[in-house]
Amino acid sequence: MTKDNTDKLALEKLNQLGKELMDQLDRKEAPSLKIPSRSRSNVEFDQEKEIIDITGKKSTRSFINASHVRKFMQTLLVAQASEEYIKNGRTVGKRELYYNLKHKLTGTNRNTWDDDDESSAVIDDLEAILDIPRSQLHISAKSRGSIYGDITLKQAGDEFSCKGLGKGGWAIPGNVEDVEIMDYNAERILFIENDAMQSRLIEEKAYKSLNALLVTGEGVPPRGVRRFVKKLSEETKLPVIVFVDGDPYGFYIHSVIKHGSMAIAHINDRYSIPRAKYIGMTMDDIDKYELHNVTEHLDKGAREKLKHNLSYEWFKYHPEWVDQMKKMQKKGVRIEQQALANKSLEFVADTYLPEKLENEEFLP
Amino acid sequence: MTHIPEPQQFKEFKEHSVAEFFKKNRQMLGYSGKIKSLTTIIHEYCTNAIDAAEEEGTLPELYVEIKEMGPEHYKVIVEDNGPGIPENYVGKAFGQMLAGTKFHRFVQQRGQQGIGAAGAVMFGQVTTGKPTKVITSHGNGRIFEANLSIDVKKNKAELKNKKKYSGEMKGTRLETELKNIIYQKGMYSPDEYIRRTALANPHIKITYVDPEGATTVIDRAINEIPKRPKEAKPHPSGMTVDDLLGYASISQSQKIKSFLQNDFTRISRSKTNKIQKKVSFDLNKRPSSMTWEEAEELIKAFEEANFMAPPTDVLIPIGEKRLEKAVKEQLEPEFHTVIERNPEIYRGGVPFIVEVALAYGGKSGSENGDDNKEIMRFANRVPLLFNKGSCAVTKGVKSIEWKRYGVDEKTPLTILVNFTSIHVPYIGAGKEAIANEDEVIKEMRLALMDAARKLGRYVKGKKKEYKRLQKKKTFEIYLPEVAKALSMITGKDEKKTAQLLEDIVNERFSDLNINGGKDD
Repeated sequence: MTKDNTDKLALEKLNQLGKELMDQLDRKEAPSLKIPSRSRSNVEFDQEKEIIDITGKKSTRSFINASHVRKFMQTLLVAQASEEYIKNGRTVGKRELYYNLKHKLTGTNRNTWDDDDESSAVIDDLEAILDIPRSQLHISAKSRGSIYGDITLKQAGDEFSCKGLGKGGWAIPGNVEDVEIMDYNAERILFIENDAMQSRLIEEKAYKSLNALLVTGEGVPPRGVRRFVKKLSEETKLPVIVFVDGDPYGFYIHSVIKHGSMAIAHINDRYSIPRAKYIGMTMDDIDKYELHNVTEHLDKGAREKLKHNLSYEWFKYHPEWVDQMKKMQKKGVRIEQQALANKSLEFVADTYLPEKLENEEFLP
Repeated sequence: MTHIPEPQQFKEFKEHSVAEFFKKNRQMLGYSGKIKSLTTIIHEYCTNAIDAAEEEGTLPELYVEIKEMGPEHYKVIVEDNGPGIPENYVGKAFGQMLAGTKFHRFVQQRGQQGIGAAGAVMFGQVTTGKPTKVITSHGNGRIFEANLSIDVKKNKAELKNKKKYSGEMKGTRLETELKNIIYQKGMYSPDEYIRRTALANPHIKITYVDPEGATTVIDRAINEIPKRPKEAKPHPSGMTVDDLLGYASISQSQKIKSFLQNDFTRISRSKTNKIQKKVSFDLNKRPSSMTWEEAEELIKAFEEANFMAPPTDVLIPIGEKRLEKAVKEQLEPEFHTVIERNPEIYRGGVPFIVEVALAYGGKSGSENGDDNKEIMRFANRVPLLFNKGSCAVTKGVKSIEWKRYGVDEKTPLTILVNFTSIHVPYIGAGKEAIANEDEVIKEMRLALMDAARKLGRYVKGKKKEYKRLQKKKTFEIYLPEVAKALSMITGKDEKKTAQLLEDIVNERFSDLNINGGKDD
C-alpha cells in the first residue's frame, strides 16, 4: 500500500468512528466505543494463522461510565490529534504525542493525562478499535535497530542503498509505512538479536557471503523494525532467518518475530512473520561446536523467563522449542551469539552460519 | 365597673407552713451554684407564667429580661399574658411555700411542688434584702402593683408600696433583684433554657433580652394551646413513702381508708379491705397522723395488691406534628424525625409517654459538647439542663450504637427527648434529672432506635447522593474535551455536541436534579 492509501484508510476509519459516536448521540444514547479486549485472558494462539491473536471479545468504553469517561476522552483526544497529524503530514513519537495533548482540564487541577503510560495505553486501544497500526495513525514507535545489505529503499523522497552507509546500516525509523523497496539483491533476511553481532557480520562482509540482508532490533525488536521486516518479507518473499542468543530471551524474541507479542495481540497480523525460522543459538550448538567453556549460568531471572515461555501455547506448539527449553533447564546454562567469538572472530561468518544455512539446520 | 370574678384556679390555694423550707433546702431546690441559680429562677418564673396563661386558655406570650446591675448582681423580669392575680392572692401566690395551686392536684404539670416562684422570691430577698415587685392586671384596665417580701418567721407574705392605677395590661410581671449569681452563656444558661422551652412548647411566644442587651424573639410555631391534661388521681403503684405522706398531709379525708379510696385511682373498697389485712395499723386513723413506718407498710401492701393499670388518657405529650413543626422552625434541620411512643407504665403503675426528635444539619448539634451531638432533655416539656450524667435520657442516648446509623462525632445532631408523666421520677428534689427506671430507659431506647434508623437511612442516602454528585461532576469535567474532539473529527458544531452530551449526563443524574440543590 502506498502512503496515500494508508493515510486515506486511516482517515476513513477515524471519520467512521466519529460518525458512529455522533449517531449514538443523535439517538440520545450515551456514546460508547467497542474495544477488542487486550487482556491476557483474551489472548490466544491462532494455530491456523500461527499468530498470537485476540479472541472476538470486546469491551465497551462508555462516556457515561464514571470509570470509563477519562479514557473515553483520552481516546477521542488521540483520535482527533491523529486525524490532524495525518492531514498535516506530521508523524509524532509517543512521548511527543503525550506532551502535545497534555493540558489542564478546564476548571480543575486535573490533566488530560498524568504520565505516558496513560497515553500509550490509549494509543494501543485506538489501534485495536480502528484495526490499524499506530504508525498508520502517524504515531511512531521509538526508532531502534537497523538494516545493512544490498537493498535500495526510498523514503521521504530519498533513495538510498543500505550498504553504502559506511560501517553502519540504515537506522530503521519508528514509522516505516512510507518506505518503498526499490531494488535488492539477497536470498534471505537475517534477523539478528544483537547489534554488535550485526557489526561483526558487516565487518566480515557476510551480507555478501551469506547473501543476506542483516537486520537487528537491538534486543526485543521495536515495532518499526518488526513492521519493516514484515513488509520486506511480504514484498520480497525472502525467507526470514532469526539469529539470537540461546537463552529464554532469545527464544522469546524469536517468538515475537514469528508469532507476534501479547502486548499488541490486536494487531499482530501486521507484524508477525509465521514463516520465520530459527537458526541459533541452540543447546545442541554447545556440544557440536564445543562451546562448554563459554556458556553462562542460567540465573534466576532467566529461569523465570524460561518457565513463562513453557507456559505459552505458541511455545508448546513447537516441540523443538520445548525441547530446547527443557535442555536449557537441565543444563542450567545459556549460550550467547557472541560466544562464537571464542573460536575466532570470523567463525560466525565463515563457519557457523554458512554451515547451518547450507544444511538448513533450522528450528521452526 | 362590674366585678371581675376571681379565676377558678385561685380558689384552690391552700396554705402550708414551710417558710423555713427554702433556707434549709436551697440546694435541693436548685439554688446551688451561681450559674445554676439564675437559670433556676428563670425556670420557676417561666413555668408559672406559662401554666397561668394555658390554664386560662390564652396562648402564652412571655417577656423575659435579665439586667446586669453590678458584679454578680442581676435583675430578672418575667411577664406573662395570663389572667393576672387577684390582689388578695398575690401574697399567697408568690410569698408562701407550698401554697400554689399545684401540689394537691394530680395532673401532669410543669411544676409539681408549688414551691417554685416563692423560692425565687426568697432567693432575691436573701441575697439582696430587696422585695420582688409584682405588677398584675386582669386586663380590665386596672393594674395592681406591690413590693412583695416574705416574713420567714410568720410564713407570711408582706405587700408594701401597694399601688393601683389604670393602664393597658393583662397578665403578671415579676421583677426580682438577685445577687451571688453569674450570667454565663452556654449549655447551663438561661438562654439555653429559653431556647429549649420554645422547642418543647411551640405554642409559646418568647421575647428574651439578655444581660448584654441582645433581644431574641422566638415566635410561636403553632397557634393552638395544647389540650389541658385531665386531672388524674395518683395510682398507688407508683407511690413512694415520701409521696404518700405528702398526699396524706394535704388530704381532706378523715380516715386513711377514705383517703385511699378518694385520693387515688384504682383503689376500690374491696382492695382497701385487703390492704387493711396486710398492715399492722388501723386504716381508720387520720391520714395526717400516718407515720413513716406506717406509710412503708402501705406501700408494701400496694405492691402486693395487683391494682388495675391506671388510665393513660391523662397524658398530653407535645405531639408528633407540633414537635416536628417546632424542630423545623427552630433548628432548620436538613433532616428531622419525630417519634411518639404509646403510653407505657413504670413502677408498675405510673403512665408515661416518651417522645423523641432527631434533627440533623442546619442549626442542629452543639458547639458546647465534646462532640457534635446535643442532647435536649425535657420532663413534661420543661428543659432539664443540669445533672445530665445521671439522667435516664442520657443513659438511653448513650446506650444507642450511633455509628450503626451512620452518626459519628462530627454529625451535627440534636437529640430531643420529652418525658411526659403525671409523676416524673426525678432524682432528688431539684428536678434536674429523670431516675433510671428500667421501663423508662427501655422506652427511650426504642424511640431513639426507631428515630435513628430513619436518620441512618437519610445519612447513608446523603452520602450516596454526595457520591453521585461527585460522579456527575466527573462527567462534567471531561465533557468539554469530548465535545471538542468529537466535533473536530466529525465537523459538527461543538456547542450542539456538548449539549447532546449534557443531555445524556443530566438524564443519567435526573434524580439529583430533583432533590439536589439548596435553592428549592
